[in-house]
Amino acid sequence: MEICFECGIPIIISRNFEWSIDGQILKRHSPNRYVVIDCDQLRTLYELFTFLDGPRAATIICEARRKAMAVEIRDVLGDIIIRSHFYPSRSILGKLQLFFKAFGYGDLRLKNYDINGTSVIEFHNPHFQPFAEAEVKAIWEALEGTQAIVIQKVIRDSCIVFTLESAEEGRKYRLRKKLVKTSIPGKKPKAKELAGDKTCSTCGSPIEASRFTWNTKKGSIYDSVRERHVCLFNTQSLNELINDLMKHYDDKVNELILRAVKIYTRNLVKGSRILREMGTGSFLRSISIKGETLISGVEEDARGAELILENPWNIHFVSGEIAGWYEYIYNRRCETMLEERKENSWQLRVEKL
Amino acid sequence: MMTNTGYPKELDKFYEQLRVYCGDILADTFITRKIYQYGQSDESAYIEKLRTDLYLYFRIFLDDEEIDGLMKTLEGEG
Repeated sequence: MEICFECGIPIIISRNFEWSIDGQILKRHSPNRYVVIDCDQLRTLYELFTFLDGPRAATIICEARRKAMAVEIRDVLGDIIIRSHFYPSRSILGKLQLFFKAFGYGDLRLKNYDINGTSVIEFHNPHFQPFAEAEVKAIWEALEGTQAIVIQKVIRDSCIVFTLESAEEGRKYRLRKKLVKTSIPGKKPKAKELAGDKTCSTCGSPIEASRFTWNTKKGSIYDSVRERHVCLFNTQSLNELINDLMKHYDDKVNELILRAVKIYTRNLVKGSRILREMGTGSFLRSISIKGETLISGVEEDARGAELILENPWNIHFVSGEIAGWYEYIYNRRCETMLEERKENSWQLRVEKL
Repeated sequence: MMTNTGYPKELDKFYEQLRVYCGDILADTFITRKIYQYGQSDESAYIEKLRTDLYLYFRIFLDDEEIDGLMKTLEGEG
């Protein structure tokens, strides 16, 4: 994976993504929006739901991830996949590996891909272990057009070896279905222009995005400001995951996400000297660089703060992050109040309790 | 002794308070799962284990004051 020498961002990222001035990371030539999220933040949410509802919640979350990932892989592989009727070529697998590494999902190695419908996939340094199985199944689903079952799973240190087989009976020795290119439905958001004049003169990415360090061998991304490993996620797939949770557990899911993210952020700030010394303006700017939202107005008074959030990828998640910051700053618990001003624009009030 | 929520008396108030934080469905499945997991034979045993859960896991989504409130409820002071 080629990396820009000036800012350290992989060329594949700067070529395919743009940081718009309205606080979004958009994929070029695609309706998809992306967001950078801490792997630990994802783990916290996973632990929260599995703690409350046990393995059922784990299945809901992982299945939602599998479905979204299969669509995303087809979108990433694009035209190559349509031409492959029989078995995936080297170029497909190479592209898949690059996609996983660039997004910080881990290092994927395909050890065996048999014509009789069995494959062995090694997944080194997965960004989030519970998702590894879902993601590997999604690869099969995207390439083969059928669901897969994991017949063997071996965990060795930071590597998981999966042996997969088609879930469809009598699948062996049959020609694989022709796959049709699909993309996640949705309107392509209008990107205004790249973030200001502070862009890398070599690759055009915002210079502030150089805080992310790509480990091209391991396939991980490190956020040097938050001192956490992060991943690039499709916002639509994350929102679908949250919607799936809401179908099972009603609207309280949003409140739980807000609470968990708030406590996570408060503890993150408490434990990080870099964040503590950052100041509110820089912290809010750091959220925008992650593609979460654009904060267009901040007013602080004796009782709290009022912010205008434009294009938040998920208003409850973003509000949780901001409330967590203010809870640390005020050193007391805060209440959050949300009001939708117009489409994709919210007013957030964080008030001391 | 069971109450109108169907849970043992000791957990009744705890359930009522928990549903404020995470909704009816999650509070319900959580309590049911814990009762099943810890066994109904000795009621004081699962209350003791819930206390440990409170300190270890509830911190993911509740503040210290909220955990204290739940703790008092479990101890019968709430």
